[in-house]
Amino acid sequence: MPDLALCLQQAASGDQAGYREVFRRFRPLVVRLASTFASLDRDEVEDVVQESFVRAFKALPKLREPQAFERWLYAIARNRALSHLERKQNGMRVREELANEPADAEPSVVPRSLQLERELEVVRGLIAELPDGAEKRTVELFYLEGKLSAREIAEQLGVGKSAVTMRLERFRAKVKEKLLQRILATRTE
Amino acid sequence: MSHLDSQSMKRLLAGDAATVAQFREHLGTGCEECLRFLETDSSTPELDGEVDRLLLGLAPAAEASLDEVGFQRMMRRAKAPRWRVPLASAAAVAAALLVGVFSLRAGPVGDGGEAGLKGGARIALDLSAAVQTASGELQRAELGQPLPDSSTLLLRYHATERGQALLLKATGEKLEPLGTFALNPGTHDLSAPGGGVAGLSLQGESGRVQLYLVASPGESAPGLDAARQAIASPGHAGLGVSALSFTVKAAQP
Repeated sequence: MPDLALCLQQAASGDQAGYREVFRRFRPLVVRLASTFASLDRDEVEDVVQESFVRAFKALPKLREPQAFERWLYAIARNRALSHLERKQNGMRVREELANEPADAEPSVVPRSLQLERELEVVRGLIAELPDGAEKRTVELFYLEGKLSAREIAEQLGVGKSAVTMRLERFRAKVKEKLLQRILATRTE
Repeated sequence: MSHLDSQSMKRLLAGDAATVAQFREHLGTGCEECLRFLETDSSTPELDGEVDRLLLGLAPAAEASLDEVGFQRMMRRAKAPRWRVPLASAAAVAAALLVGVFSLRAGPVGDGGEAGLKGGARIALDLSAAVQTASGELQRAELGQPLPDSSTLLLRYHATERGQALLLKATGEKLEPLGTFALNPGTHDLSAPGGGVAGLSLQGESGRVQLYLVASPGESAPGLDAARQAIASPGHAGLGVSALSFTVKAAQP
């Protein structure tokens, strides 16, 4: 698999091969992220995906650290998904740029001392600690196995898609809390 | 004890010593109020992005194929003078009923059928459809919802190149050619040779049905054998393949 930093460098300089590789590699993940928003239909998820890559590629020359790209892309995708939801729920056009769209020029709140593999182990530990039941099974199917969509999990578990996405959001909040704790710990070490 | 809110989050991430001291112990106590806040808060995109990176990084990485049509669409969008194409643009409104209703991955006949699309090496396609009810009303069809056999499918395609295509219907093991069509680059109705939108009546159908559009960038449409091979092995002979998969529900007698 081509080196991501090289692909990003190619893309930032307008080389289509770089765009293609980055799009190929991350599109399925952005689709999964967007599909965790229960109210977005299939077309809206696709729209979120397209907008996310357009915005990310446009701003790519400003990206200083290639290792921040993935986090940055997902932040853009989440922002786009929320914009779609806001538009859908309020029946109004949302602001063009949400105030909280990520800006790579700002100092990172995620310290470099947090190693991805270590953090992944922490998240796996959180899943293992969940009591056996619907939330744990949902999280395992969606995040650990990563093969079924939220809708397919809903069908398999015999519940509505919104029940699945609510469980995923709940677990996501726990991961966010844990990550926040770990970030704070690095600041007080 | 105060709980997390957008102000304390900002102070926390800015490293405010008093806030850090306050929440260092509190976080991790399973505080419902703080968890509820974290569920809905989007004021810290970088933190959110990192959480998503961790969660999406848990599953084994699957080798993804390039969604050629999606990529080309995205690149066109990126090059458009207006950076952001509004969802409710005139074109999108006009197309909303017809485009993107289905967009299912091409695969071998009898394949489980998953959402997506697939293009060949030289021409990439995206076949989609809207449902026209017996009363003539156009409706969006939701993925996974059975279609009544009184409906008609109105077909639309997106192609990256000019070409000729063969439309086929697969039911069970049977693969039946329905007609040939000239394709133009871009998104268009699948027009019948005599003009007009090609509609496919579902009358007499029941159960799982798959439609395949197999296209060649050349001057002649692929033959049945070549189309069969391209469906089994997308990319075969430079042919583009896109498929729709749906279930037809027969009316109760």
